[in-house]
Amino acid sequence: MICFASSQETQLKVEINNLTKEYENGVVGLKDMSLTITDGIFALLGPNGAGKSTLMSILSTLLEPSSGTALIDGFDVRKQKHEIRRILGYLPQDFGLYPVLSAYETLDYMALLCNIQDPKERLDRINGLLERMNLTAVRDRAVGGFSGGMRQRVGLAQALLNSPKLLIVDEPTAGLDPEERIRVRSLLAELAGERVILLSTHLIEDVQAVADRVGILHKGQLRYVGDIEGMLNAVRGKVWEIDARADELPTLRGQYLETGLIREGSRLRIRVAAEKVDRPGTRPVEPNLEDAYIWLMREERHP
Amino acid sequence: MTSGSIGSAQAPTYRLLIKMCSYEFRLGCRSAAWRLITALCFVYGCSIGHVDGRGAGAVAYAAGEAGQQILSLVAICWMSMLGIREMTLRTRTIVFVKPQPCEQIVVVRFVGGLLQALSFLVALFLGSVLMRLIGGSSISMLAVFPLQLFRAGAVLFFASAASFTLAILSESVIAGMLIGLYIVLTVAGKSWLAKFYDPSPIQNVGTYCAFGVALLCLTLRLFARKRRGSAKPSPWIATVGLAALLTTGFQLFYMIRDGHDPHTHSNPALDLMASQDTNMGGTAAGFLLPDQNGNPIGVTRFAGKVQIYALWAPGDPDSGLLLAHLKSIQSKYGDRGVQVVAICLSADNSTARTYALGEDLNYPVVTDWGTIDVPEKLAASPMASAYRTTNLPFVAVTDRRRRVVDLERGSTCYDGPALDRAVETQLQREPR
Repeated sequence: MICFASSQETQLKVEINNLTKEYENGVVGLKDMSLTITDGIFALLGPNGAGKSTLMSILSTLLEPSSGTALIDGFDVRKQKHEIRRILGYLPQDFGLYPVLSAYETLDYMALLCNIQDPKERLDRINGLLERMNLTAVRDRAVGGFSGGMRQRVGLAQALLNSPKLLIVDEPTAGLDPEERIRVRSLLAELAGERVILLSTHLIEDVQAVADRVGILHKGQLRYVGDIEGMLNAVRGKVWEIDARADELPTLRGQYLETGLIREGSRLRIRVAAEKVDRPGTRPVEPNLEDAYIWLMREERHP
Repeated sequence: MTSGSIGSAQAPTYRLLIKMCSYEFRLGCRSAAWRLITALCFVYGCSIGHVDGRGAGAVAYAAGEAGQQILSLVAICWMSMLGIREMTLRTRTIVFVKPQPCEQIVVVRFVGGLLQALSFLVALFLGSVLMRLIGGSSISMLAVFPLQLFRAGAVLFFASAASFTLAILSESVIAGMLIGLYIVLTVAGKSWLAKFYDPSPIQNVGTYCAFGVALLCLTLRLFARKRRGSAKPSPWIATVGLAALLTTGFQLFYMIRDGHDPHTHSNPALDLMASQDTNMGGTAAGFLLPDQNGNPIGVTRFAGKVQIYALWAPGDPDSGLLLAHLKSIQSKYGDRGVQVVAICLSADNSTARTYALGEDLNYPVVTDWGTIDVPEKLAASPMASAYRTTNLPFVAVTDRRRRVVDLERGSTCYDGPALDRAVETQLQREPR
């Protein structure tokens, strides 16, 4: 029987200390970032350009940091790349597959790149992964004709071939239809048992569905690190719903940090995050993760 | 839970590398471009083999020339694109996070690509061989094809290695294709370039294969250095690369200084051969040159015979017809004391053997060693200089004392009764 749990029983630790990445064109991808990731699914949340992919690339040994250190299971990402690659599975945000190879052949080739030498072992692992990813029916079809979701599942399967202790998945649900998105999230939740998963996303629902801990990244710096409850607590008591006319919307947007809006006939129900709202027709509401995210990402103009 | 050799640091087995190479080969072979080129090569090979008047030798040589000239350009484009494949397909991010070392990834990719390029060559040769089989060539005559296949394959190896190296290191398909420009200039006949870049003669194969290996080792050493971290590249890369580089440098030095056959160019006998002045009534130019089996042959071997010396070059279509005509003359008059000797003007030492065996020639074919294969061929050949000829084919008929009694140039050598008449006349004058 094939088990997709990590090949090691001990939990892995990712230690990031004062990590900075400045690109040659002067753009700062990460700025003096420190973080420790120990178990479960750690979700990195942030808008496009926040530095999520930069961090993922550094941790997956594809990119050199400008300064600082990052240790994965005690291995330095600068010096011990080979050791890290042995315990790492990586699903990049932007990746290609060899279009003429079938799903099985793609995984077989990737297994060879993982140094899995025994043909029987390769076969068992690939068949198990194809089954797990619901790709068995299309195993002999060229991946060039696969849909985005199927490609993503092949990508996830190739990342799991070496039973990694650390699985890094960068925006795994981006561009997928709702059904595929749910399927990928479920897979991630299943895989989280024995390994650390570092998930990068800009979708709140991904975090809500699978994450144990969350890091919010903005302009290369961490704004928040903690669990989901902590995120909600950060904004608890600061979320309000305001009944307003449509013509009041621009004014309210100037005054408060809008986190949602529902149209009800000619009236609007505007959801805002603020320390206090002095306005009739306003009531406090229970926060959700979107409120928390927007609150934590707020600029200084919204105190 | 299974366990095993996942990501282990141990060296991969040959079986694993072979399997990876087979995937690399498949990656190219399943493309429409590969299928189209292979089909075109087969058809072109058939067209080479189908030309009337060509025997297996001429066809094998023509296939070898097409392979090393046209297909080396194809291979350059092919390998240049292969060099940037991961960038084009965006597969780098999943390939380079795998624990397989850079050297193995690059080597298997090159081997896979080279096999694809060689398959074009094989298709070309298969077409030619098939046509010759249909045309009636015997199996023994077809035995010359592997020699030309090897020669063209070696050129393809060098072209592939050079273009792959440039493309993969610069991450630019244009850089890889620069090698193609070099070959085009050489084929176009820039003699100054051909002097130091011409991997086509079989005697240069070793040099250029060593050069190709040196370039590949350079790639293995330099490619994706940052990906290694503190891991050291395999020591065999430096060892093999250095040995290949030294071999190349040593041989190229002499090649640039002395031409393609350094040992012959520094041979004063060639100067003496070239300095002879052979005219009607004078003594036919003497020589000591290797025959198709590599054995040296001199004019003294044919003392007392009516001798026919024929100068020809493989690129000259008339020469093929001359060789066939000389074969019938040798059969017809050989037992009456006539000896034909074909003198091949080619810088490639495999030409004489290819034609002699492939055309089943019944007379010796010697190689004019001093020939530099450039358009000014005749000026660069000692024997052409000795006969003061600027036209090919060229035939000199001598009496039994090796005095020239007849000179034929161009199509009169094989077309019409001129040569036969000259031989008949001489045999009537000197029956024995």
